[in-house]
Amino acid sequence: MSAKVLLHVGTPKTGTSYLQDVLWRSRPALERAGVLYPADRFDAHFLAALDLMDLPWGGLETEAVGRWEQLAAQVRAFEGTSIVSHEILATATRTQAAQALADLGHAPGDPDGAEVHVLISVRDLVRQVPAEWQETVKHRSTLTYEKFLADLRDPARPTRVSSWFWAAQEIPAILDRWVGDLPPERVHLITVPPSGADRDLLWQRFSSAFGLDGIELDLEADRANASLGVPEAALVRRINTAATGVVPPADYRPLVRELLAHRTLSARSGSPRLALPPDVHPWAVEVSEQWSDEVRRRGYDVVGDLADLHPGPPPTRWADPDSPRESQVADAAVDAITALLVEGVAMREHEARLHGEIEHLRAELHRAHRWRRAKEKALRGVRRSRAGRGLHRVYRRVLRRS
Amino acid sequence: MTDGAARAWGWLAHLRDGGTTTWPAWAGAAEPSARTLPGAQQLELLRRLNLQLRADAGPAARPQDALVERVLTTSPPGRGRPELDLVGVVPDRGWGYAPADPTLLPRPELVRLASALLAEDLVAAGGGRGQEAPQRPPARRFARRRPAVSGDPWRADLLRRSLHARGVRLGHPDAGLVVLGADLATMLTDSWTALAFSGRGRLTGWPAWVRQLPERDLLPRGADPAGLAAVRAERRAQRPGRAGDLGPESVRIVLDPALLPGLLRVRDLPPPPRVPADAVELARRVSATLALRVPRARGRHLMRGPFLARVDGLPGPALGVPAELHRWVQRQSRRQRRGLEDAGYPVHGDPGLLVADLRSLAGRDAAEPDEVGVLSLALRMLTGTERAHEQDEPGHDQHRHDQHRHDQHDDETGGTR
Repeated sequence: MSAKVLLHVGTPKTGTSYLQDVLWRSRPALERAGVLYPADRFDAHFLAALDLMDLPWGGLETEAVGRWEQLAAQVRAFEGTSIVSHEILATATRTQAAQALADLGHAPGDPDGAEVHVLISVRDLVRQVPAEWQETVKHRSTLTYEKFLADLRDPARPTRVSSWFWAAQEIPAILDRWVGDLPPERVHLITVPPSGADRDLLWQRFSSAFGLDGIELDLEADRANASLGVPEAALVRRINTAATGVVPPADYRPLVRELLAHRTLSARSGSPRLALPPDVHPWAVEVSEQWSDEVRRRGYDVVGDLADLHPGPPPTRWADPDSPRESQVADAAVDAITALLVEGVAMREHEARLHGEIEHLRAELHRAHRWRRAKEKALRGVRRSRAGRGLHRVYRRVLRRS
Repeated sequence: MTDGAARAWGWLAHLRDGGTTTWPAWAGAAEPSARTLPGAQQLELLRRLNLQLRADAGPAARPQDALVERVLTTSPPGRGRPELDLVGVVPDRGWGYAPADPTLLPRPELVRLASALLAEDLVAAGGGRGQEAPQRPPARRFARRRPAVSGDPWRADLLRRSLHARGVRLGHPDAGLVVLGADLATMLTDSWTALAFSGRGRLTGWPAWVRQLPERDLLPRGADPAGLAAVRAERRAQRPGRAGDLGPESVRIVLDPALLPGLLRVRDLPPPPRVPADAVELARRVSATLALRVPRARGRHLMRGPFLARVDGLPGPALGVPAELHRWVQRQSRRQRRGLEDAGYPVHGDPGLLVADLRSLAGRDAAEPDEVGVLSLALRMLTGTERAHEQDEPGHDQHRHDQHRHDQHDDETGGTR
């Protein structure tokens, strides 16, 4: 049974990918320090979370079957400190969270139970809202920013997108579901520093909260935040509108999300940044203040400063991704087309190579097939007579003996 | 503990005892019996189970304790609303979902939860998560040469499954291909039924799925025998050693099921299952949950094996094409008949069988799935009473109508007993 389990349950867009990448790359160093990050592939904890929460994810869920049980078993079998981390765990229901804690060894009152800590990294709502819309767009959505914001502010949370957003971002509700009967000292909030802060500050907070100080970790993981500007996000949304019906999810992921959004459009500079509209800003400030007051009242361990949750002032200039400057979108589209052409050329070269291989294999198969048919024809001829059938029996007997 | 919380724990105890009183009408109180109170969805589903079981098995009937515990500890699967607090128990805190009156929960929310339990039952009935889907029988050197079967995906797959179960192997490389066809309305409903029973995740509901076909001017491949035959013939011709020895005559279209045993060289074939529209819709929901639990091939096997066995022959109208699409179906089916005649494939059966005319479409005992019926069937399958009313089968429409009214009455009165 693990002596201690550090369970990181979110939230998305708080530097979790970088943390998980460092942990994944540094497994040997961690194990030498008595810390287990149980993963056989970089997305092992993501798959385990999908399995725990019965979540469909564009077909990936088929690879997730049984993954949570595997991960929990590894944690229970380890005698040191184990780390489990994935941001979509934030969306777990009360029942799933209780199940997860129990699976990881949490047993109140049992001296043999593991010491489970729940950690949650949090960022102010003013940065989270546009970041989540952008993430939605990168997952094939055609939702306008205006509609997205209206859905978020609707108390009924009527759509799948709004219910997902609040499930993943509403800090007091996430804590309500996850904390259960854990004492406040086993609940840790890691706040994301405000914009413009020292780049290493967030990592220092993660390192301190997870007890990683002093361990030789591989920190060379890619920490570039693949975020889109206003014209780029508008372009991807328009591509979704045109292509969702014709590009299957399995192809969308490498071509649109990875090639276009992450590798091409995120690399563009100088575009206006996505932000909350000035008229929505006060609402986000009010909600953030309510949340930080509640967290302060509960007395959890805060790594960082709850003041980080307080949004800064509204932007002086705001660009609307639903009505972007068309010249900027056109520039982004030219870059996107160029990237697709380069990819197309590479694929054509690859295809030509494969065609050569297929022709070669087909010719070999054809020869083998003709030989088989000739043998079958001869066999049928031989077996027409009694003597031939006898001869065939003898032949098979000899074959079996040899 | 607040008064509201005590009342909620009291309601939970009442429901555990088989009670059917609605939350707004409940007035008792009790001490907590668990670490956390289940959500409104779980509690309301348990109430509905109690109600259904009383209707099906008598006033003293109550669900087994194990089922009660499962209902109370299962989360609604997939994306959607999480477990909701009961109205009157938790004050409005300014975050989280607003507390809910469970009697007002939409039925699909309850079916979502019930589908998770049914999926668990199926996995258990099929031998657990680790079981492999069955394979087709091995090839034997001197076995009879039987053709491959394709076409209407629902009938073709069930036929393959039943023959494989008998140890009969189809698809000899030299025996050609049999493409099953029927009238277009049947092939459309069969195509969606096959998807619903495929153990796959997201599948659009029948009304949206069928209505997008005329909008996009397309037919699913399984509902287009001539198109499918052309694709398969081309694919076979491309196999090594096949060029030139397979023409249109190696692909046969079969429209009359009575001719199939002779063509497949078997003595007889089982009749196709009769699955009511509500059961097909429930299969779609259970498939979506099953896709999260077991690999696709295993899910498909569980849906077309144990699940189908439970819903085959249940009363209720079959799945039908909506009336506003009948003209489109008639037009398309006539076009299909002309296309088939032009393609030159041997056709077994009257080509007129392909055509679905307006009169025959209007006269069918068919319907779209109905949420009341789907929830009712889910509840019955959970308690194992789905066959409780089989004796009513000659008048099953009347039964369904009565059941519908019964459920509506419960909804209106809160179902207090």
